[in-house]
Amino acid sequence: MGKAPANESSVHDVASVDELENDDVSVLDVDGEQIAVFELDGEYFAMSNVCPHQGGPLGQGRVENGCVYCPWHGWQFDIETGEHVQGDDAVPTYETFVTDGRVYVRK
Amino acid sequence: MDHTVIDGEWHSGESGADIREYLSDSEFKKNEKEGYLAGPEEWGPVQWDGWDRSAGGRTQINIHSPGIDDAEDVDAIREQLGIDTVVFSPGQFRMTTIPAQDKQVPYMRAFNDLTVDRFARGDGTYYAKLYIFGDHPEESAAEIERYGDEDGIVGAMITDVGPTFPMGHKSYEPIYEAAEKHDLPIILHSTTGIVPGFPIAGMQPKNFAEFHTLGHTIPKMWHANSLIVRGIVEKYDVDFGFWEGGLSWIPALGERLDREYLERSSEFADLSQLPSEYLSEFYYGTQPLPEEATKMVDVVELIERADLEDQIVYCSDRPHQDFDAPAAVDNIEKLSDEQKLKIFETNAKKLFGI
Repeated sequence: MGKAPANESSVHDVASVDELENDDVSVLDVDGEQIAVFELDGEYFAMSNVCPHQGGPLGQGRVENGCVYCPWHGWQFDIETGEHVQGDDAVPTYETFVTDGRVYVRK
Repeated sequence: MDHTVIDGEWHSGESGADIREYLSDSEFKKNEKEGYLAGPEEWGPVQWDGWDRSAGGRTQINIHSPGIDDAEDVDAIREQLGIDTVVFSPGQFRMTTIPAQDKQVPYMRAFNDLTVDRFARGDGTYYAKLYIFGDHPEESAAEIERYGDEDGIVGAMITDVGPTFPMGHKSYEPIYEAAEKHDLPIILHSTTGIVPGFPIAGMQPKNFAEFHTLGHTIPKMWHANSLIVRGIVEKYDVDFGFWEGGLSWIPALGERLDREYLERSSEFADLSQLPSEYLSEFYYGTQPLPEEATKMVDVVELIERADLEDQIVYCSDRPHQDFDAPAAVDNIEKLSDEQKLKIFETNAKKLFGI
């Protein structure tokens, strides 16, 4: 996470910190791309919501030990790096930052 | 690329209790409603297999999804996935686990009544397969006779785990005669239920992964081997489809068969070509398609070397956890547009007569 002004065109407002604390994950549409933002122990991580396997919704997946499991076929991705834990595929990840109690994604 | 997507397998979602409602004998139905005090009412005589398919809840699975009560219940997800036409498979295919043998046939008949009533529309969008039992060949043949010309019935599915004999055995011949007469393909599909027949009883798997790796594929090899060695492929003009076992077992069996044939052809029925060439005439469902991610198998090369371009049918296997979206085929980089057209549309039209 880093600090950055919230008025850049590539920066997208996701949700408030409070909202993410309640839900742990939020999915937003950025220029037609679905991005899932996860909260893990007070840190925020953003990755494509679309599993590279067959397009499953990663934002609906179970989160466990820093990984998300695609709800369709169980593919396991490291939330911080986007890497498939067992295979070669990876999910695109994006930088996040917090300003004034709101979570942003830079894309 | 402009083509229709035909799904060769979407499972209906009926429970044992739903099937029970179609039992034709009212006294038998009444007794069935009252006879399973120790089990869940919705299952009746069909046994739950006890497997955790979800890896401890890490994936979503509801193998007999409620809410697929008739064909149109899948409209929304079908359209979301970009599937135009569905050929339903029986959802409650664990029927071979019914322990009372004298109840298997009435439940098979009730099941087919349900399928024709709710899923076999024949309307360009929804079609269905009958359910038949390997251990009840005469009665299964009668089901094909009863519904073989019904609008919307385009095949017959047999649970390939549970029958006492492999499908080249002479006991199956009434089924093949009826299928040939009504021009219905026979689709082989495994089950995860614990049944006394090959191969489940002997596998002794540690967990679902160890079982599911082989649970679909091994029975396919058992039956394909038998159909060829015993000459069913020469005797009957019937199409066979091998669903849900993937593709990578085909060359392995072909190599073994050809070797045996070249060494001891006298033990085979009269064949007009190499055994492996019959494997190139069977049909295969695409699901599951892990091969595109497996370095050991080049699925496009496999299709070309085994001459399967005209034999492979896209299958989603919805609503099961390990289903394949059409993307599973589209993602195979080296498949040509012509090959995709055949897998998504042409081959299914040919096999099912749609």
